[in-house]
Amino acid sequence: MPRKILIVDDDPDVVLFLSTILQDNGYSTIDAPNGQKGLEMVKSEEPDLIMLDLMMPRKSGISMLTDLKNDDKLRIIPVIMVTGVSGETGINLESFLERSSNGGPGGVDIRPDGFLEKPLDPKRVLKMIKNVLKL
Amino acid sequence: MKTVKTAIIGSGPACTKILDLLLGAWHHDNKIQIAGIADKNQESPAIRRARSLNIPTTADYRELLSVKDLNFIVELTGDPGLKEVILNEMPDNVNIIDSASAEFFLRLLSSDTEKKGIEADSPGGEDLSSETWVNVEDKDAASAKPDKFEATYRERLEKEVEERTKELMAQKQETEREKKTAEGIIYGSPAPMFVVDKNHHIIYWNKACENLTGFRSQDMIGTDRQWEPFYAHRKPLLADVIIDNDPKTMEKVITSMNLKKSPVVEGGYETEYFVPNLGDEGAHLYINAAPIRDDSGNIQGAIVSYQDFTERFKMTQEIKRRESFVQNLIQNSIDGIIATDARGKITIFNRGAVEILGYEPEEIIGHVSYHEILSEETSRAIREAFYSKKYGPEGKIINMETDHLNKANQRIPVRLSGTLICEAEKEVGSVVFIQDLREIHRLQKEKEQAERMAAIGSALAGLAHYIKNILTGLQGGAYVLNSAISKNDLDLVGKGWGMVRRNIDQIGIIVTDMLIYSSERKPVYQMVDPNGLVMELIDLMEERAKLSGVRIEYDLQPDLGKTVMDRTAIYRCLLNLITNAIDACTLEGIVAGKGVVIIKTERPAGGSVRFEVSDNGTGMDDEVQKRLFTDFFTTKGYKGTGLGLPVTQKIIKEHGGELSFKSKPGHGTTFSILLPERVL
Repeated sequence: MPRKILIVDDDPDVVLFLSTILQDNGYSTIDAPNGQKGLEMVKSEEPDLIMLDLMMPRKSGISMLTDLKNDDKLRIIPVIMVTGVSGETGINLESFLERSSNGGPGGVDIRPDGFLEKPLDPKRVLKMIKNVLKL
Repeated sequence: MKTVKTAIIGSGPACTKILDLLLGAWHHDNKIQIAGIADKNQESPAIRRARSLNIPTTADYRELLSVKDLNFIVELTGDPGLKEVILNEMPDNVNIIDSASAEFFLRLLSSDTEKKGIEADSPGGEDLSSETWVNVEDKDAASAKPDKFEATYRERLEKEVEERTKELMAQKQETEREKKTAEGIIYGSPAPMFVVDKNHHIIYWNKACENLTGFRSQDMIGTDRQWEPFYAHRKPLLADVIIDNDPKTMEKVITSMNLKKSPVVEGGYETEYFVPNLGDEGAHLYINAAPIRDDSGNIQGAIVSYQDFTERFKMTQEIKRRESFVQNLIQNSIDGIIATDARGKITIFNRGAVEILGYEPEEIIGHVSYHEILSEETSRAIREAFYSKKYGPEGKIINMETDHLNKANQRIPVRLSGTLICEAEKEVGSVVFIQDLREIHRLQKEKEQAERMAAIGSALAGLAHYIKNILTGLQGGAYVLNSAISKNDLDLVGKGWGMVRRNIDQIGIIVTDMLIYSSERKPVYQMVDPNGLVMELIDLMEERAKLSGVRIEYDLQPDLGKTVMDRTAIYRCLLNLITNAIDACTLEGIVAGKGVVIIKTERPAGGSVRFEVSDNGTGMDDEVQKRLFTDFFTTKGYKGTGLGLPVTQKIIKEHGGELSFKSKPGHGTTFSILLPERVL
């Protein structure tokens, strides 16, 4: 059974790019255009890993991550945060990390299992996934 | 009547006069007995005369103080010190007549005697000899011979005498009145005045003089202390010099006091003089001193009047001080200051003007008119500016940028302000202030250069960022295509190619935006139906909005008609605003389906058309609002070029229109484009 990876990103190009990389390397992929849809798919599809974009309409990556980590069942699913070029999003990543390590909103540790910065390099993406899945 | 015993101290001319009077026909009844005359000079005419009359004389006045039954002491030395001593030493029942009082009485009596003399000498007045008069007074003697003729004669005589007596009395009163009047005039005169007699004794010291000097007349009259208010040590005043009438001394004083001959009074002088001892800070006096002469031209005294012009002097000093302050201000101003008189000739050409224009003041002031040193063009422009409201009110120029020719005939750019100087609505000159703009222009250029470099820098950074995003997309597309080809997956080829094409489109968009933004371009105007334009855009955007869960509504004024605009450019602007509005509704926090974008058109007052694009999306905080029109600023991550609003603003500006917005975080944003009326 190939590992199932959920890609949550509003940019169809990123979804296509990531799913091509992952499928070419033996993973199966599913995708969602925002956090809201993403959360639904996590529940219905039970993926092995989530690649989560930070900035999305409707429900952002942080919002979805917070929901995941507050859910006892879903908390164990590893998450790799995919961020825009630093400084571009207006979100201070360092302070976000700091907050996450000290327990995010609700006092729960919402630290993601990894960070990937755009533009995405296929080799680094695959290495990070192997690391997080402990393959 | 009791005999009055009198002692005289001092044997000057006054003493002689008293002896004359006492021993004259009128006083031979000896009602006044002279007990003695004292004087250090035992050979004076009065002393010698006294000795011949068997009146006791002495060199020590003290001997006289102890004379038995003495009634009066007449002090004729005029020495106030001596008067003090006598007052202290004399017995209580003795009265003192000081020299001033004596002088007064003597004058009174001698004028009496003179009149008597005139009557006695008058021709045809033989019958009225002094002897006869004495007889008339002797009524017993007259009534001794009661003859009829004599009685008639007597009657006539008595009448005559009575009339003469009245006349004399009237004359005397007249003289008295005149004297009083003169005294009154002097005393009441607002000008400080004093009069000294030929013995240098003060006889008048008026109220104004009291006010000026602080010395009271009762303390001054009869003394020779006139110097005291003015000097620390005894020193002859101008009045004293005039009385002494010594040509050599006069000459010296004329030089030292810078005296001028009085144009009014013969032998009088006037001068301006500073008296350091007077008042708190000294006084500046205008002094006028003149001799008083008797009928034969002999100097009998001197009259001095003052005019205190200290205040005026201070004012003059103050005016001078201010004048020099203004002069300093003018000279030291960095601005060039050029003033002209009524004929346009330059009267002020300060150092600032020298610095800017290179002329020396000597070659300019008084020789050249302002317009002569200007180019014809500038000269005309300045005249025009003065007589119009182009740069401030008529008669004024405020911050006009023009140029002046310097001495080397080079054009110097200047900022000029100026004013016409008018008096009673008549132009009497002008003054202009010029600032050298060379340095300012240089700095401005430098600043513009720096700003352009900074703009280029930030533009390049933004561009690099955007291109990097596109590059990433292209690389992704290439990867997908590669993978599709190797798998022979045609479907994936299509998807990969789509990705590549979308990114190529992005390049197209940003290149167009950059061209619009960076180049000077003129709108290509044509007649456009604004409502049609909006409907076209709605057709285009509706599908995309629906995908994002946003509804587009419109509210278009029906009878709007066609209006002049650059169709392509305005289309682009509206597309940008609508895209922004949809994006604002799809950000986090907006429930899908609740987002609404409303597009409005209307004909506003003072414009041809107003487009309004409103959304109920996230709205913008202050920080975002501030950076809204900054090149390459975006909140949309890789999806935004950051050029949409700057481009929109530029297009609207090129149309001469207005782009404005209202926004509230959490409530939405409204952008408004107002296009002006324009004829094709």
